[in-house]
Amino acid sequence: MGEKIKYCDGKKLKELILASTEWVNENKTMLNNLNVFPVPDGDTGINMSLTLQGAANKIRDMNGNLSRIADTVAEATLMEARGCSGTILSQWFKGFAQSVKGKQGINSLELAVAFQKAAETAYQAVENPVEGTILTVVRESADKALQLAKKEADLIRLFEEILITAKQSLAKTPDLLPVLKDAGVVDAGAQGFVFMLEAMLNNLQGRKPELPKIISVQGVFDTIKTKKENLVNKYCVECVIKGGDSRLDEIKAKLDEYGGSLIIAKSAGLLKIHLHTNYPKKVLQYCSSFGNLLQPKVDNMKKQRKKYLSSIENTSKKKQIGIVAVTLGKGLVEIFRSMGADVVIAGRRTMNPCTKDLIKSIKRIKAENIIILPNDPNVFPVAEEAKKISTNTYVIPSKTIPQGIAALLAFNAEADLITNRENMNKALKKVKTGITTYATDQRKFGEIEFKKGNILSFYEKEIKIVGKDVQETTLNLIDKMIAKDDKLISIFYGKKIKAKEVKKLVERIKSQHPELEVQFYYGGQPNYYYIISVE
Amino acid sequence: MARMKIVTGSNHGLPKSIIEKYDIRIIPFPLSLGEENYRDGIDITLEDFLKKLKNTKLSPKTAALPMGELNKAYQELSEEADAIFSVQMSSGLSIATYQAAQKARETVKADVEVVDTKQTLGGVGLIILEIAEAIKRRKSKAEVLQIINEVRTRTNSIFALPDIMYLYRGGRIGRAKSLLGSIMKIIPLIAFRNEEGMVSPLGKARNVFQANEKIIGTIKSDMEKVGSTKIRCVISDVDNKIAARQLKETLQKNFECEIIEGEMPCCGVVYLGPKAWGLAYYLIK
Repeated sequence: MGEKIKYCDGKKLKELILASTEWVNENKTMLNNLNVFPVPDGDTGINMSLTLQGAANKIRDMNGNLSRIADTVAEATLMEARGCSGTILSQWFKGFAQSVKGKQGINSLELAVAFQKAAETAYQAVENPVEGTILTVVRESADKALQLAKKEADLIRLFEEILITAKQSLAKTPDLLPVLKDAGVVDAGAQGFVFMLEAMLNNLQGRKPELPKIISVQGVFDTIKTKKENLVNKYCVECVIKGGDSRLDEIKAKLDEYGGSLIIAKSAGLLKIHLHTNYPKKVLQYCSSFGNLLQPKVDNMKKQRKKYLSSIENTSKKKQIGIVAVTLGKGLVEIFRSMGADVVIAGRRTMNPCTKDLIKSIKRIKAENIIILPNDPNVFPVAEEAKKISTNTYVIPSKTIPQGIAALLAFNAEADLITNRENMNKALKKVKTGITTYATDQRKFGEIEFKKGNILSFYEKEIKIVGKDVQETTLNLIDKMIAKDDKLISIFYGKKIKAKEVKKLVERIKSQHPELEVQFYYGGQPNYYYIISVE
Repeated sequence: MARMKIVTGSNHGLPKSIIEKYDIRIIPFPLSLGEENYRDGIDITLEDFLKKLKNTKLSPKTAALPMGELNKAYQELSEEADAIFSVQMSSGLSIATYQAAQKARETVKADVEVVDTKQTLGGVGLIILEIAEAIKRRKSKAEVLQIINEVRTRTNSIFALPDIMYLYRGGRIGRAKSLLGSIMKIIPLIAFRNEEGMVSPLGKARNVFQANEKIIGTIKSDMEKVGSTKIRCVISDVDNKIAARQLKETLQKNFECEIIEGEMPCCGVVYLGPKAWGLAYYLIK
């Protein structure tokens, strides 16, 4: 560390938004579980995640200055905003964008001023702002930012302090909002904002965030059950009006009569309406009288809550964690299954299942949470897609079969999700992988050149050896892989290798390395002669 | 001052020296292999038992402690003690033994307290040791009972079972059945922790080194949970001195520990199987 960052330009803002989006998405289940106010329908996480993803999708391939990026984020979040928290967030971005209008980039003081404007704009959007929610946290963070930025030019230090203040503010939300205290949780929207700040700080520091924490749902569950009668307004109505911003006060007053939790987000001729009401038709009719009505949405919150309650109740019937592993080769499929994978996808020749295959497999498992073991970097994008589409799905980034096996070995069905993810991730680093295969083509990789039919050995995805004989090449590979403290070599032999050959190879390894234990198994993979793991 | 004595089954896991030092009364578990019956620890040595197991296709079996033997022991000890602690293995593993120990109190003069240790083998032994030491320090019966309750919460045990089929055939596999059926050669680890009194699956390891690493990791986290900095343990093995020695060395490297080299009874082999090893550990306050 030690490097300061004094300037945030368009590129940096883009990174910060993308990091926030990813982190909120990772934690969306936890945010759903915290959702008690204003209506406990368990969707704050999904809402904030989708709102942010709307922005992320628009800016991902953009190259622009800070102002342009900020404007795009504000517009996109307005259009994509879901729920109270999503709508408030879109207004936060609106205020931020307004403050940095025309600027290529900003320094720490300008950032603090932008945070102030963002907070003010967020408050203005809510008809009846309630303390103990995301509003409190954005306000107190902004105040801290302004106070500090007057003497602190380093954005990293600034964000460190802002985050501390935000977390303190978050911790106090139960003191400000009694329903949070009853449920024993902090406010979901506020926690979502803290996650965003966390991700931004981690990005500035060049770090990856730690795994999210799981909180118990019981307190929330009990609160929902006892406050059953409090669902005063049955429907959640959202829409975007093109026009009408000149008569904003009139609209606010009228809509306020129809229900509660009114939030109006404004941006360049558009008004985003969010309202809880018992008269959804009347509200939409009224809104459409001001201009073009876009994206009207009506949710039956009573139904949603019932569904959420029963999904919590059904938790005990499903198992906690299910595992999907991707591999290739009859033997390897058997091995993964025998070690506890619920579903093993035998990829096609190139070992790349498509997203549809992965989603289908996930749906087959009756589990609260799903862990995916891709076992190949080419499968990572598909795994990430599947993770986005399904809920409670996590990826342990295994790059090779031995890594996947090590991770699966570290899995304990009796431990909780957090512990398992921690242990499985740790296990990936404990095993070294080597592969012997053949060249299908003549190619040159930097210094290394080979012809079709040559035998190639890879060590951790780098070509190490080119040879003519499978056994010799493999033995050379193993020599390169072995280090002082290693104790165990495991060999998975592919379809093209006969049992006699493996036995001979194993004997030679044992004689060259008598201190090591050697195990071998039939993998049946069509593409690699041998997959070797050393640990 | 109340005179107090301890009686237990032959699966305590402690070395003879400690049994003799504290004059603990041992009742042998009935052991059988095919047609042949033995009294555990009396009629056959561990070595011979293992040899027989190698040469047979039959499964060994144990039975609960006979009520008659328990009653006899209680009666005899009543001559020299006012209070007797009948320290038994987990009722979750052998409800019959626990119930026999309870029922055998009828017609006995002395006060018999049946202690459900929620453990087996060395775990039972460690609790016995605490009781014996408390008695030596002249604690009252009430104080000893309090100590037992405290110690039980801080006593756990872990075993590595290269041949987990013994546990399965002995009908004690329970939740650890998730450890069965792996195609790859693995060493399953089971534990008796948190006073559950039943087998819980701890994990799998590829070899002895990894198994011992996992054991150390578990002990470490248990120590952190209760803020303990020292442990006392009983290590034992079924014909696997190498693994037990490696475990001992790793323990000494990582923790401040008092290590007792336990003796594996034949009745333990019935469930742990050959080449098993493990330890019971008490998290010292």
